Amino acid sequence: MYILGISCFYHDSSAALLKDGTIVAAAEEERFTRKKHDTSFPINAVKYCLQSQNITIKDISYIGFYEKPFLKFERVLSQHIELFPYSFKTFVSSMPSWINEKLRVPKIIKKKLSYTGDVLFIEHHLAHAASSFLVSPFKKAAILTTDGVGEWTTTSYGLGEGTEIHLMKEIRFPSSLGLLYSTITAYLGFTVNNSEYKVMGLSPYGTMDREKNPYYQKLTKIIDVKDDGSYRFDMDYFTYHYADRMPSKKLCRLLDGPIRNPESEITQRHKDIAAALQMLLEDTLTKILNHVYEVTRCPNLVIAGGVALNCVYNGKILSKTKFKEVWIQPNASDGGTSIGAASYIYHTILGNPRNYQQKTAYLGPEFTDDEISYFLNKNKIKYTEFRDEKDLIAKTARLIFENNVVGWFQGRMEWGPRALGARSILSNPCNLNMQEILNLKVKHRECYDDKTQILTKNGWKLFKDLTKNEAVATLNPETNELVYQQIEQKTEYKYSGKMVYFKNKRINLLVTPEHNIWAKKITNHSDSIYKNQFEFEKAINLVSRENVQIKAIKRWKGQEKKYFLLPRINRKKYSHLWQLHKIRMDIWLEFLGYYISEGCFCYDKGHHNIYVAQSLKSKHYEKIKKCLNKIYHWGYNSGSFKLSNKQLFEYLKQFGKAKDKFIPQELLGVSERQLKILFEALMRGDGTYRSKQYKYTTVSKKLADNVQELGLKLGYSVTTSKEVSNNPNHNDVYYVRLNKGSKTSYIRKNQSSLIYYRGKVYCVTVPKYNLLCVKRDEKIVFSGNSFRPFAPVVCEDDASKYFECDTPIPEATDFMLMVYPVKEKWRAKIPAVTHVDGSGRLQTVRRFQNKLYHDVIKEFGKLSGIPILINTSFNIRGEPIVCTPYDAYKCMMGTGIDYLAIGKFLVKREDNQNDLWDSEIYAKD
Amino acid sequence: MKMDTLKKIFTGFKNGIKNFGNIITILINTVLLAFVYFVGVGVSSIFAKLSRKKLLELKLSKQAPTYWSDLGLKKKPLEDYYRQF
Ligand SMILES: [Fe+2]
Repeated sequence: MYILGISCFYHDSSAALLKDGTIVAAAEEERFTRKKHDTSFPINAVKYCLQSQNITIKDISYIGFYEKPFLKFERVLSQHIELFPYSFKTFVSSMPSWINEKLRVPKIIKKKLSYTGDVLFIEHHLAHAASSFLVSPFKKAAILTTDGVGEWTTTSYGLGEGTEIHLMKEIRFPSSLGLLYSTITAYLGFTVNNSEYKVMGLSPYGTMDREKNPYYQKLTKIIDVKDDGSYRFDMDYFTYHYADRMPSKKLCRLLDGPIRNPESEITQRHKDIAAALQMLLEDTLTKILNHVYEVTRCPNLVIAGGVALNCVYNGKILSKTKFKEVWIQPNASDGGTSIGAASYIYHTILGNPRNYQQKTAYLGPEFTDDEISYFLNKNKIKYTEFRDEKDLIAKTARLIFENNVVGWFQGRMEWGPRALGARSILSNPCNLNMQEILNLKVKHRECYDDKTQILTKNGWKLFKDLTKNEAVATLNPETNELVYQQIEQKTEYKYSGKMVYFKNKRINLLVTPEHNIWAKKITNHSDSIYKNQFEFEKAINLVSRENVQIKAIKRWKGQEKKYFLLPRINRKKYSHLWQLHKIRMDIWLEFLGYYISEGCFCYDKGHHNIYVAQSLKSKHYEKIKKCLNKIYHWGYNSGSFKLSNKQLFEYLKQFGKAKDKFIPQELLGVSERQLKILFEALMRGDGTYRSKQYKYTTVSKKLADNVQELGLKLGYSVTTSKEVSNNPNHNDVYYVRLNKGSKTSYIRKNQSSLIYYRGKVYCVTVPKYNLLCVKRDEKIVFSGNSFRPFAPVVCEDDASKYFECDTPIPEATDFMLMVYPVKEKWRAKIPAVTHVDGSGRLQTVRRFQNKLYHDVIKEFGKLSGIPILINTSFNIRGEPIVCTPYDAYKCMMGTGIDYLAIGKFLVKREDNQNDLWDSEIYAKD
Repeated sequence: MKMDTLKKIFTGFKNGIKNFGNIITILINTVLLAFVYFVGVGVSSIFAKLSRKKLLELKLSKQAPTYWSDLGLKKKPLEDYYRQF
């Protein structure tokens, strides 16, 4: 008997197929559609499930759906009624999807799958409970489910025994631990339903002391937890029950500040909030679990629901509660409920005995060596073949040991959010630099083309000319201030393929498709949570969409300089001259502004003359006169001021003719007030001011650069255009336009495109707020990148040597669901996978689960002395984990993965510098 | 060359019509939904408030002994699972 489970329209849609109680296939839709967290009907996942068993939809006896849609709709309506009229916006944006799909599930299933059989609807938390209990190793177990929200339930507990599940008690919406976590995730500037793990990862950086962390006490104000673990929220602190999942103003006040701008600096306050949240969650869960134990008196525990992905707490369950054993569904969040719905039908409703335990997560598609070699050959991909498995293991281990980054594509794809050794990227944890290498090579291919320039302390520079210790201009998005930071690392590599090109009057940017653009979307997407915030968005996602981009900065904190020291000249020869030396900086900047705009020098029969042109009628005449009075005596003749001074002459000589003019870099580092003096003087010269916009005209490329930098530092939005002269005797003219009005500029739909590029690409990393100030074709923008941690994998029999884990090691550790401390003596040896608090989110692997993976780790241990690898998911950041050989190859070529061990073949990146992004030629087979 | 321009104009026209259609759909939807919201949901809300019926628990209740409420989800007859509620 085949039973199909389906979960969709909310978070991660998925499908799972049960054959006589055994899960034979399960996958999430995102892996096929390549849309992360895809919520659409899992048509591809269903197709895969059927194909894997060579059956058709007619062979399916029941389809199980993971929730009761009408019950959920009742809850949604209740929200709208209770919170009328505040919920109007969400009502309008969410109702169409209810009318079109969520309330028409049987019809949609029938239509999409041509299915005419029975569809059963399982309560959401029951599906969660079943997904964990019915496939667990336990005959009897206490059950806890905690997620965002199902129909009404947000937390429930009960007891499973044999094939029966009894969920006894619940906490009802709107109080929800899952939604609390998401709200704080949003508050901390991360994306909801995606980056909760980042908050968990941030928590050890905060104060983990309940007395000393001020936010712990504050957060206890919004939640009342009884001794039995039951809890309720004061909803004044939230808005998710009537609006999107943003924190309320009251919560912002409680937490001493506004919502963090994504990618702005994470301060100690943010870390403390993350720590406080984690402690509050742990305390509440511990109370709940102790209560559940008292009620059920059962030593075994299974948990499910999104909160069960909090592996930091999972690792503490057995030590903090009375439970002796714990099991967790590897796909603990909503994706896993398709397994739950199907198992519940087979075992509980139909009463079939349990005969299956989920020991691995390898339930997805697999590809035979024939299929893989067909793909490789067809696309003329160069590869070598391993002699046998032993060769595969030995060679792969050696490649990793030699610090190569290896894409590992073997067997069936993983079920659930983690890569567990079927679609993984493996690398050497003993290498001190591996974290940085991985971040740069694999996860952050965010590069600019070779014509892009970056603003450094020494002015604008091409990336290729950047030196190792260069300080580059970055934007602090919280304060909109320009801050110089020393670069940590610069990478450059050859690239050939598609790049994203943004071009209009104010923006000109050519970047790799995964490049992060600091942008704000204008188009209203009902599914977008942040509509009014700037956030990083991958360039490829912005093609043909309307958006805005940040442009200007607010303040510049330079150094106030009191005096300018004019270099003295040879005393012997000119001993009769009184030498100017200390000149008040304010005066000097003003003078220099006039000189650079209007001045020139001329040696005339022993006279060292300096001229500053200005007609008597000019409205600036008096001002310039006043300034010159403070510098040196002057004369006025035929439209020009004239100063004769050898010392000034010698200094000003360096500025040459009009086309060579520039502003000395050290003068661009003075305070904002002083820069303004310089700026105004320049504008009185060659500038015009019309309709709130300055326009500065110059024939000097260098000076145009300097004026741009000056403008940026003074908070202007800067654009530059160039008028190319047809006459070779004339210079090109640059027009720098500066205005304070618009701080952002728009890219319209038709102003972005994919173009082909072959050449070098570059990027740099800086310690914080990775918003670099770059320009291309004189158009200046801010754009940048960001980072994330890595996890270790170790064979189960070695785990307790390196980690302080529970004994016996819970099977949930095989699914990367537990965090345990790295043993003190090993921490320094495997820095890339050791968290700041000394813990690691490890995966244990047993040989029967994945022989090749297990043996590669062991073999690596023989070479390095430490049988641990870095295991990170095989994907480009922001994309789902790879599924097919095509995805894997594309990912390798689009990142810096050095080798790909795919089936019994080895592909070397360097051998295959093909035009990867011309993906049509690699179309899926 | 001419064919190309014609084609461009045609697809442009088609896209224009399509976008126009989308905008109209969104407009009509919004108007209808606004009507349903302010009449349907609004009236229900007034009734709920008059009858002091609380649909959501929005406030803490410090003196309550527990916030657990009975769920009692157990195996039910097969027919029950055909229902979407
Ligand atoms: Fe859920």
